[in-house]
Parts: sequence; C-alpha cells; structure tokens
Amino acid sequence: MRQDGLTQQISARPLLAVRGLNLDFGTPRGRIHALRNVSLDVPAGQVIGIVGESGSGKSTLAYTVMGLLPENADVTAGSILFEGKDLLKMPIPARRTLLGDRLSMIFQDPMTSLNPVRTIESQMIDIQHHDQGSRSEKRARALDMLLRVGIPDPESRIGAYPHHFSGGMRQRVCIAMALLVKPALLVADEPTTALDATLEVQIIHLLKDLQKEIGCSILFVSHHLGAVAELCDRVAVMYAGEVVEQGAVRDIFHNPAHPYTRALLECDPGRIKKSTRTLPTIPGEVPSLLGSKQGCIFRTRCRHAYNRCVQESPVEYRIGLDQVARCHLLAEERLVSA
Amino acid sequence: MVSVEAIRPEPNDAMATGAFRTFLRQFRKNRLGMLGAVLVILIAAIAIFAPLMITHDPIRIMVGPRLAAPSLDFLLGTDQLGRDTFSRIIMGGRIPLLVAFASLGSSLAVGLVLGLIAGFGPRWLDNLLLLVFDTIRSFPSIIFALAMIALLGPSLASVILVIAITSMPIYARVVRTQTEALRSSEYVAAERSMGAGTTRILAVHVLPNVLGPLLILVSMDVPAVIAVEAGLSFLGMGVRPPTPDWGAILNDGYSYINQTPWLVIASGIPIVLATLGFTFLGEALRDIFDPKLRKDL
Amino acid sequence: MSALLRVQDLRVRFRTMGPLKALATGTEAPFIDAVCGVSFEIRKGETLALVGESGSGKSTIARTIIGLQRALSGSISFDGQEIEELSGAERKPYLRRMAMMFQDPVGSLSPRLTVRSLLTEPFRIHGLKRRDAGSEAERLLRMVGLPADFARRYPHQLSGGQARRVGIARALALNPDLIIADEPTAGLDVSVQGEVLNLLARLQDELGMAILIITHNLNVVRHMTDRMAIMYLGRFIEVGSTERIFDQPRHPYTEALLAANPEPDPDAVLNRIELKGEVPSLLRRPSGCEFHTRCRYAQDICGRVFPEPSTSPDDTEHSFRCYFPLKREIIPGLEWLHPLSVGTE
Repeated sequence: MRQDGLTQQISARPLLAVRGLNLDFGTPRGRIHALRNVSLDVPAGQVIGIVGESGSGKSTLAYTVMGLLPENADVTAGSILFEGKDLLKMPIPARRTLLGDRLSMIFQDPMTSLNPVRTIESQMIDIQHHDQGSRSEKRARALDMLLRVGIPDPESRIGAYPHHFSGGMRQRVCIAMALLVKPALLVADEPTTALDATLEVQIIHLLKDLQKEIGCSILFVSHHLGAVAELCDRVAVMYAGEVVEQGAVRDIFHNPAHPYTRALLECDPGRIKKSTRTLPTIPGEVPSLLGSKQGCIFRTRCRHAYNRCVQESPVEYRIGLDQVARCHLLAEERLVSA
Repeated sequence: MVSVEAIRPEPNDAMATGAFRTFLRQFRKNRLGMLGAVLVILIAAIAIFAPLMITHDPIRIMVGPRLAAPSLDFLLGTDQLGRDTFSRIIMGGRIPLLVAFASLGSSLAVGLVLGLIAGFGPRWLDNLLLLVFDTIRSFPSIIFALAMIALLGPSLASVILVIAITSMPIYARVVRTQTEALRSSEYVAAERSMGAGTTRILAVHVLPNVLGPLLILVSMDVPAVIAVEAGLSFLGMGVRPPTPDWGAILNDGYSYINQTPWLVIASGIPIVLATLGFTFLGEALRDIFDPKLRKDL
Repeated sequence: MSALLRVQDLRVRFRTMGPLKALATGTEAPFIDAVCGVSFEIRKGETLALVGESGSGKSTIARTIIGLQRALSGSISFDGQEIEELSGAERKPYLRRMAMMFQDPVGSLSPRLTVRSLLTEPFRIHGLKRRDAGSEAERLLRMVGLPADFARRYPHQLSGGQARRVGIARALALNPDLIIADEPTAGLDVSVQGEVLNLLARLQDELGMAILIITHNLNVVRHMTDRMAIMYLGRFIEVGSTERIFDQPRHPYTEALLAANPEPDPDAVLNRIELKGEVPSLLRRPSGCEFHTRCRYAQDICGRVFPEPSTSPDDTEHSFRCYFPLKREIIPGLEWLHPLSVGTE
C-alpha cells in the first residue's frame, strides 16, 4: 500500500481514521477536555496538516495517535483506526510493535528522540530491529538515508554522537531515523518550530521530497500557516480541542469557511503586505477546557456569534466536495449538511 | 513544545489566589502528608507543653516500685530507678527535637549563605567552597561523630555540632546548584537590566526559589537526626543521665529487657512515630513542590 | 533629530575555554567574536530593528547596551554620554531611562512575585517611593489593557500574551526614553502577536519612546519599525529604511530571509528561496564575506575579502555589504556586470 500510495489517494479506507475522539486529562483542578469529538482522515500517501494555536490540542492528537500520552490522559470515547485496526483497542505490546515500524514520529526538539550517549550509527541500526538483514546491510541503509536527508559525507558522520550535530542537522538525523523503517505514517510534531527561518525552508522541502519518494503519509502538526500551506495536501484546523474545519489545502487557504480559520489566516503577518500600525488580531482568550461545554467553542471570540451558537454545538457542514466546517452560519448559507 | 500542551493548567482561568492556597488544597489530598503533619504537630506540641503534662518529676528517683508495669499512677510503668516512664518520655522528646532544630537550623543557615556565595560569586570562590564542601563530606560521618565526641566530650553541644557540620555541605551544594541555574535565568537578567544590585537579586529573587527545595530536604533529614541522636544516646555518647531522652531511655530499657518490655516499647514508639511523621511530611512537600524528584516516576 | 543611542564599532568577545585549557590544547584564539564592529544609532522616538538568525549577535548587542555584557571595544553613548565604561552603580541612572524586555514572556518575570510587585519593582530598585504602589500598578495594568485584578496574580497564572503585556507595562514603569525588545513576539500565537505589536505601537505613539527591536521574524519588523539592520555572524550586512529593504533588498541573505516567511498560500510556494547549509559556527568563521558559503551568487572574490559597505545611489541611508547586490532593474546594456543578479519582482 505504501508503494502505490499516490494512486490510492481516494481509496475507500484511509490509512488512519480518527473517529469521534474524546480525551481528558485529569488534573488537580478537575478534568481538562483536551480533545472533543475529533474526527480526521489521513489517506495513504498524503500529507495532512494540523494547524492551531497553543492549547488547541494539536500536539495532544499527535501523541494520542502514537500512544505516547502521560498517565493522567484518559480517552473517553472514539476510535483511532490505523490500517483498519483500532489502535485504542489493541493490546499494548501489539501497539508498541507498530511504533518504529508502521508508525514513526519526529519531535520539535530532536534531542527528545536521540540518545545522547550513543552514536548515530548504533541508533540507526537499532531502529531497524523489525527488519531482516545483516548489520552491514542495515548500516548501508542508514548511510543511504543520511545522504538522502542531506547530511554530507555520511560515512564520516555516522560514528558521531548527537551533540556533534547542529540543531538543523540533528533534525535531519531524526527524519532519517524516522523514515529508515519505511513507516506508513510519519507523525511530525512541530518539527521546524525550534529552527531558524532559513532552516525551516530546508526541512519543509526535505520532508516534501522524501514523502514523495517513500510514499508514506505525514501527519504534520504546526502552528506555522506558511509551512502547512507549502507542505500539506489537506489541512485540519483545530481550536480549543476541536477540529473546526478541514479540507484540501487550497480550499482552506483560499476559501476558509469557519470564522476561526478566516481570523487565523488574517492574523498571519506574512499575509499583510501593506505597512500598517494596526495588525489584525482575534480578540479574547482561548476558553478554559475545564468542565463541560455547551454551544460553539469559538463563540466567545466570534464576531458573527448569535443565539444558536450559545445553545447548540454545530455539527459538521459540508462545503463543496470535501471541505467540512463546524459553524452554524453554514447551515443558513448552504443546506447540504453532513 | 515537546510536552503535551493541554496538561499544563491553563493560566487564563487560574484563580487569582496565592500559591499558598493551591498548596493547601494539594496538601489536603495527600493522606500520608496530612498524617505526617498531624504527627509532627502533636509531637512538637507535647515537647513544648511537656512540663504541663507530666504526672511525676521525671528525674526524681522514687522509693516506689521499680521496673513496674503500667498502672493508673504510672501510666507507662517505672524504670530501674523507679522514675515515672510516662513523664520521662514526655520530657524526653524535647532533646531530640532540640537537637534536630538546633543542628539542622544552624547547618541550614550556614549552608544557605555559603551556597548562595558559591552559586552567585566569582568562579574561584565557587571552586574553593566546593572543595571545602567535598572535603567535609568525604569523612565517614559516624567516624567523624565519634572522633568529635571523643575530642569534645559527650554532650548535647557536641552532638549538635557534629550533625550541623556533616549536613551543611549537602544543603550548601543544593543551594549552590539552584542558585547557579537561577543566575543565568532570564528573570534575573531582567532584574539586572533594571539596575537591581546583587543583594537585592539574591534576597528577593533567588532566595525564595531556593528555599522551597531546601526546606523539603531539611524536613526529610529531621528523622535521620532524631535517629542519630537516639543512637548516640543509646551508645552513651549523647546526653548525660539523668536527663530524660528517648534514646537514653531505650538504652536503659534494653538493659532491663529481661525484666520488663515496657521501657523499650514506651521509648521506641515515639521514635518511630516522630521518624514517620517527618518522613511523610517531607515526602508530601517534595511531591507537591518538586514532582520531578518523586521516586515512582 | 539627535541620536538617543549611538553605538560605534562595537565588538563583543566571548571566551570559549579557560586560559589553562587553551594553553593545554594549544588553541590560539580561545574566544569567539559574537559582535564584530557594529555601528548604528537610534534617534528619539524612532524604531530600529536588528534582524538575524540565531548566532547573529543581535541579542548580544542588546545585552551589551543594557550592561549585562561587557564590550571588547567600541563605544555606546546614551544621550551624548558614554556608558559602556561605566560600572554597575554609575550606570544605574541610565537604566532608569532605558528598559529591556526579554524573550521569554513568563520566564522573564520573577516567579514568586505578584504582578503588583513585579510592576513596582523598578520603583523600588531606583528608590522611588513617592507614589502608592497599588495605584501605580493599576495605572500600568490599565495602560496595557489588563484588568486591575491581575495585580494579585503570579506569573505562572498568566498566558503568554498576558505575561508579555505585564513585561511591557514593567518596561514602561519609569517612562523610559528607550525600550529594547528582544523577540517581543517569541512564543506567542499569531493572533496574540498582533495584539502585542499593536499595543507597543500604540504606546509608542502615546509616549514617544524609541524602540530597539531584536527579532528573527521579518514580519514583526515590517509593521513596527522605521529602519532595520540585517545581521549575519556578528556583522551588519544590510541597513536601511524598513520600507526600502522590504521593497528592494540588496543583499542575497536579506532576500532569503524575506522569502522564508511568505504569504500562506498553497499556490505561491515557489518563491521560497532555499539557502544551502546552515549558519556557520562562530568558531569557524568563514573568510571574506561570511555568507559566501551559502550564497547562490557567490564568486571567488566573496571568499577572500569582506566587502566594504556600499550605498544605493538613490538612497544614501540604504547600505549593504555585497559584491553582487541584487538589482531591482538591470540597467540595459550592463547586464554582464551582474550576471547572476535576479530581480525581486
């Protein structure tokens, strides 16, 4: 499935399907409803972006898919179907064997996933423990992958320790390790946030090229709209624990339907060409996720909010072919509801 | 960020109450910590109000029964000299607590000052002080204690001095490490940029942040000190008779264990309770203030 | 307009190892030059941006101005007074007239102090007790648009944007002539970034202080600043009015930085310029023009001699250090002069 991923884009069964996911964190002050009714598809061979501001739950979603949640996390409803099997119902050992095989992850801080006291070589060989083959074959594969992620002269660099690499190079090593196992899905949690702007461009281009080459899917979590626009095929916009809108990247960026998506795009300073002393903002604060919520989560900051937004939570309304948004305004404009 | 963002308590709905309230709420949920606090308060209260609670003079040797079992008159019986064990136990808590308070208090004060100097001062001074700390720590503490007592004679003062000297380097090192980390923190730089002097930065901005972990450490050392004091008294190197002291009573009881178990029981239980009380309290404080140190994580 | 702050030929050097280790390892130069020969000035009420990526030395300049870091050579004068050589106590009166905001909105606030204490800290440091602390804190909170009951909160109870507002309020407490803002939008969400920048702009209009913004984000610069300087490995490589540089960048590095954060549009992705490699380590500073190792227009000369500053003929305030500056229009008949230059249009 991973080889001919591109042709299967519109296959009936997506590679990863998150359905009605609800997740709470138990804290001393009560339960935080970090994810509420999150549904998301990652088709094979596609790059799905999750954008949102801090507290939106985008990283929590990524960690949930990977099964890397802290102990106080509690999935209260929903399923995560990966290649047709529900990850949440899977026994823990079975789920663990998926990690570093069919699923791999890169983090914001490359040092999170690199062992500081072991060489890159031994870590890159170890990660292929699911594969057959001799040590020298695995080493050759590691060298090849290092070259592909743009590390010059890998033969001399492979014996080095993580701290011998600069921040950008470390992230490249992480990408190489994550892709070495030929995963079906790569989860990338803000992989460029800690990097300088010129390095971010490099990493985005690298991910894009490698994804095409390997044919895997990427779940790309970022707060950076520019990076998402450049890399992703589809985008899900998250706000305060909910996916408020999702669709093809062009639709989301050119024809945003949800007021939050629109506001978020307006805020991006890259979009404002004219020199101005007043930049657009989204007034108000992200609501607390403690306690139960009624109505639309964005209503407190939405300039179009009306009675209905207070009373009921909006369902997903379909706009065009495959763009959906949770906003009551759409019920009045368009009558096709999902 | 690497951590899952939603685990952090949201700042926007945080009530504008002080950190102390939050602490109290968390503390109340910690059962063992509450038990520890109750025990510590009880023992401290008994020690403070001991003269009001005793039924007999703890030192006066009586002509009545010796090594008697508990009775209505002698609640915990009498010792080999006919003294009332209950009164001696009540008064006997004062010495261990005094030793703990005096020794740990002075070593805390000295350790804090030296640690702040090492952490905030010039590099050479830091290295010099570290050398001093490590030198002191490299002595085996029991041998050091025995040597000191041999030199100064068995007295309360020498016990206090020994404990103060041996525990100081540990506190100083903790303070030094914390101070050094805070020294390069952004808020200290911000204070400097406003023109704040070193004294002000240390007193207002560094000290309060260093004190928390240090107090946790100290509260967890109290049981060790009580045990050491009891041990030294048990070995006959602590307080001199006839002063009542848990360790000394235990020592006496040990000699007469063939005749009566009551002396050992009566002095052993408060030692155990005090040790447990301070341990639970210290662990609760640590769990609340510094979850990273928790062992089970 | 007279210069409020004038920095001349500033050099800042950091030791990388102790003298003994340097001797033992035979290192001839056990130091790195974080800032090498930077000159600029800020006029009263003006906003200047220092732009660069990590390791460019922009934050070091700020820390040297405020006195957290000693300069190797060069001069810093504030309102006509040389302040670089002053000791801590002598510098204190000048620290009343300038204030620095640090990168981490929450981390730059002392964690055990309430907002009220934080806001009145400058008064206590400078021994100004003439006014009631409570009303003073309230005035400052109102100024940055926070409710008065925030005075009782602790830093950890603030969101990033709120903490940043408190930081701004504290910086303004003594009504300074100059504010140094190190990455004022770092760690903030886009929707909050706008709020903070709008607030700074509004307060500047009201109070008239000069602002020195240190940032890697060119979008912050565009709306806030009058002039900007682009830094690379401790040197200015392009200086000029903000409008002019956005319109006609001359240095290839500026061009790449400008292209690094384009409009978020899936169809307009092709104009992002990918630079080769990474910012070189200060330990191994490239010869000649430091940027030549990553520059797509670099020629032999670039690796040999660091280019002298040149200015645009039509705007003498706009200077840059490049042998092959980018050209907006290539003059007919002279294309051969700039065989690799590409227009930005």
